[in-house]
Amino acid sequence: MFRTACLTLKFAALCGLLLIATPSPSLAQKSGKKKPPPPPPPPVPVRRIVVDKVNPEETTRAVASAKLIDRMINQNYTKYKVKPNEMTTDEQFVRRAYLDITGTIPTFKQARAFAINKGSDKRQRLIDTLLNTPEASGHLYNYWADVLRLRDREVTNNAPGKVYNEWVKESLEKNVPYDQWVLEMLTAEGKYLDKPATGYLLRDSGMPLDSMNNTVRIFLGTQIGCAQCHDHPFDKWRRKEFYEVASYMYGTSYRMNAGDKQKFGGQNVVNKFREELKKIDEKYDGGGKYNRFLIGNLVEVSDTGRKLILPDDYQYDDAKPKSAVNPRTIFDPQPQISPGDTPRVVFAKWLTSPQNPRFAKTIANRMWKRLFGIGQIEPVDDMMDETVAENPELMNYLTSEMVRLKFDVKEYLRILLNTEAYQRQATFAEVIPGEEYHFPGPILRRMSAEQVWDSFITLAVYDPEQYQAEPARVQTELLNVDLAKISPEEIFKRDEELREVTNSKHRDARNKNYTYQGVLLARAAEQPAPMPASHFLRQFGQSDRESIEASTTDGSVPQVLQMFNGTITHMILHPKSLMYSNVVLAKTPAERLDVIFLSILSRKPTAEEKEIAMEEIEQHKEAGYGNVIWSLVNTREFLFVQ
Amino acid sequence: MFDFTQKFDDLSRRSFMEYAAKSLLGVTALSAAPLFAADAKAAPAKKKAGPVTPATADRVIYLFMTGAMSHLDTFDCVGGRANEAGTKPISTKASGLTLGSWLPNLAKVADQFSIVRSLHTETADHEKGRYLMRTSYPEIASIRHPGMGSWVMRLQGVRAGRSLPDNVVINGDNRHPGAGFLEPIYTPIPIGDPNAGLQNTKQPEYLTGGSFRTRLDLIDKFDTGFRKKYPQKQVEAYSEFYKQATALMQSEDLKAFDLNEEKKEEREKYGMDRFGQGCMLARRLIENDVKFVEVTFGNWDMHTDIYDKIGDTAGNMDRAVAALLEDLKTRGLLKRTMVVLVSEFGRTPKINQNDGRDHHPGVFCGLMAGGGIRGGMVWGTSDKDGHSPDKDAVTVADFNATIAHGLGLPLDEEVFSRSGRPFKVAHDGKPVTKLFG
Repeated sequence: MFRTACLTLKFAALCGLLLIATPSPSLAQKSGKKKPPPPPPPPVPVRRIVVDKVNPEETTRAVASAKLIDRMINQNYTKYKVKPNEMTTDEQFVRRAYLDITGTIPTFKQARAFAINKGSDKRQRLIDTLLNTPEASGHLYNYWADVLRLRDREVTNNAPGKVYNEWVKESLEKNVPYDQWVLEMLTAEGKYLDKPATGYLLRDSGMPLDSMNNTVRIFLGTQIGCAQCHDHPFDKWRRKEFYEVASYMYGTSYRMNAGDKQKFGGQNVVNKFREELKKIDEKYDGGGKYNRFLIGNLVEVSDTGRKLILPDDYQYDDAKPKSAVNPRTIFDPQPQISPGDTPRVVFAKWLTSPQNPRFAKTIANRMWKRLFGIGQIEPVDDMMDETVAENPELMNYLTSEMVRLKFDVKEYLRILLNTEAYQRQATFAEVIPGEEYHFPGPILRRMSAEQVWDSFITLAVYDPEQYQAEPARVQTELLNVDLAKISPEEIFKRDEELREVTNSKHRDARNKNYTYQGVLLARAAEQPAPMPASHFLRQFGQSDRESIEASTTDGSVPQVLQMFNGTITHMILHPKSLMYSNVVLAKTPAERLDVIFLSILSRKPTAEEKEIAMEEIEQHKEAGYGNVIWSLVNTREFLFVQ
Repeated sequence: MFDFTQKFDDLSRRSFMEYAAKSLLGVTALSAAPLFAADAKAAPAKKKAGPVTPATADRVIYLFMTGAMSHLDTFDCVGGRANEAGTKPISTKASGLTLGSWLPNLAKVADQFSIVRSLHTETADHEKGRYLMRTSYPEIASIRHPGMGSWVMRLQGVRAGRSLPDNVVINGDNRHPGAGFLEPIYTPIPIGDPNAGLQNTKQPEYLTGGSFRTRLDLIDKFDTGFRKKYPQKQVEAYSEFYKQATALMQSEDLKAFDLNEEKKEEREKYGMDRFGQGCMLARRLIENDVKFVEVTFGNWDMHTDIYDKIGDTAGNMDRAVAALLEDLKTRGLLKRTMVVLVSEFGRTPKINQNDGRDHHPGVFCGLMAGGGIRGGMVWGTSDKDGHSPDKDAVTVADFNATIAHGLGLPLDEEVFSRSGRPFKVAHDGKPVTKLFG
């Protein structure tokens, strides 16, 4: 947490050190008056986090695989006469490894520990250690949250998104094999509040054609959306083929019928409860107040057997408008639908099969891009038959590794992280989109919004890993009711309880030690999603979660203003911040400079930088440290992943 | 040590301004690099071919209805169509021009704007549609095209001595193309929340001008090595943003971004929702001679229960846009300010089984007002079902060429990307000149 007590007396004399360069302390201060003891804070429920660990027995195999990948990359260096980049220094590596695996810069102590470690296999060990942290799952979660457009508020009308989002997060923590995870999302059926994996399909509730378009794009790296209205202008897809593949999922229903005779006796159950609740709740006008119970409990994914027919304006000769469509997948092998099969399940099994020519390839390429900044195939979600990878042999090998690993994404990342190619310095020259790139090393990337934010949290907050978002169950346990059995009195009661647990008292109890000037100092993966448009995270390009992979790393003026003058920058200069404490704990100015540079840039200052900084400190005394810190977080070296 | 209790007085402000004008933070150091140098000389743009008509507009307020606005329920509601379902046409102040019944306020000012009812495109994908609408080019992986606001700046040149930006996007969605392949100096300033305006423009009180200067110097010194090592556009772009941010912090005109300067009842005329307030902020910026302001408004993607939703969404739009047009007119700004409202495509004429309408690129509408545009005119018609253009079809590029034409931009001038490919402000579009008059 952002430390509640100030430093010990021993350092009290130093406590004024940065004051001149810091905002006036505004955290709660003790008042002299005696007050009655406050009521005990409400309990803060937490979620038990289980993180799957890498298997040490697989190490030899992983390292061998990394070597093989390097050999294939080297072949292309020779072929295209590319000079590979120098290997990263330990300082460069430790920073990049933390950022790429856990989504934040290392702390001062972590950077220092790696620097003084003499072990010959220390990089390999660091990779394993970091892959085993909950933060690594959080970082991967931020990625999928962007791809899957995760929103806390609702996955669809009156259904809170959090349940599904938490399920995604837990699947990543448990490192559920990717094919199983996707299969689960595509085949999930039942009531949303019982089966959160249904959230994937519910995100495109009522839009079965768009849903198919998104599914093929995300998991098969192929865009068929154009063919929704006409034959694809650049790719081979015909409009009819779009309808054929869409027909697999077209039978999906997203909501129970409120007037279902069997379930609810025929009368519209929502209207019935609304009438009854009006009698119990004097202020209730029959409107939307209870919708999260009445509509939310109808949200359900099931299969109706509804058939897709071609639209009225179907314009090609290969079929007639309004004719029925038979399901057919866009790649062979075609799956068989036997009597009794649900087409959706048949399709999901086909999509996630190792035999599907694009499923393993797409995830292998996506994860490659996450580490190298650019895919073997670009863009990652618009492959065509004629698309050729930068290194086809390597792409095939990566795909086969994904299959061999049975879609264990963590192990796959581990292999890539152990390659020499990954551990080379970032390419100095600009890589122009569309031009060939033969991976002399990763490309230079600006940190993602989440990485910038989490790095600030790392600089300021003592134990950010202790903060956890409210578990979804706090709300779902109250929300989840059987409308066929429950009484209106019970709904009234539960609604009141729900309002109680979501009120500010509970929120404050959770956030108390992690709030600075109204800003919640939690890591991005534990923050509400998406953040409001004016929040730091959004200014730096966090997705609005409206379209697939909408996050950006473009710069802007508001970002710079945020870095210059925003609350978050000044928070790290506050006497209660970790940064401040680490600096004052060091004794000499030179040691303090080391702390500052190691904390912010994960390296020691150069002789020249030392001179500049010392001059500043001599000139402005204590405030000089604050100025140096402020300036360093405002450098591009801080903002980019080398 | 300096006195940190001292207020930021005029002297230090002036010296600060000089300092900012010297454009440190990489810009001076880079003056030899072609990145910015070429663009500093960009004004006036070289004319390649074709005469350019004199501008009838100096500024644009561009209102983007994201999610795809149903044309049949708003600006192409003509009555007598089976598909108009829950929307009735209402007559307006412009004879012969009808609107959907959700737009009573716009009906009262219909003599101020014209409607294009024959816009059409091919893509039914939101992002691709938006990209095309904003850039006039289809989205492809190998290049990013600039949005219209950046084109305006590029072709008219960056104005010296101004501290306010010329290109602002309010409530923008994440996939905005921004300056595309153009230099970072043309990047729009995003305002996430119009009520918050431009945030973090004030230095903390404990800082004086002097210490801020010190800090900027320090950034520059610490950053030199990294910048030299990575001479990349994404790195250098920040030099421009540092420079603009520093200038903005000292701008006398920052109040332009502050809606609190407005009276409550004036704000309420626009509606207190994000879009309404965004429109008001756009007016404030235009009043301060900002050239291009886009305001985005979502919520239009109504696949289900369209008639439960459209009342609120169209209602907010109706109130805000009508208030904006009235306000601009009263202030004498409408004459030289073009107001444009458009969406990425329309919605299916047929109501689907979920009582909604799906994506429909076949035909849809755009609105134009002010800046030389006639009032009360309809250009183009859709066919009897509102399915395809019937007469005077207008492409997205034509529509954008019409905006560019109003601004007097050279439609034929080619601007080259870094890879040497030529692009034009409205691609291959031909302006609808009959809308002017």
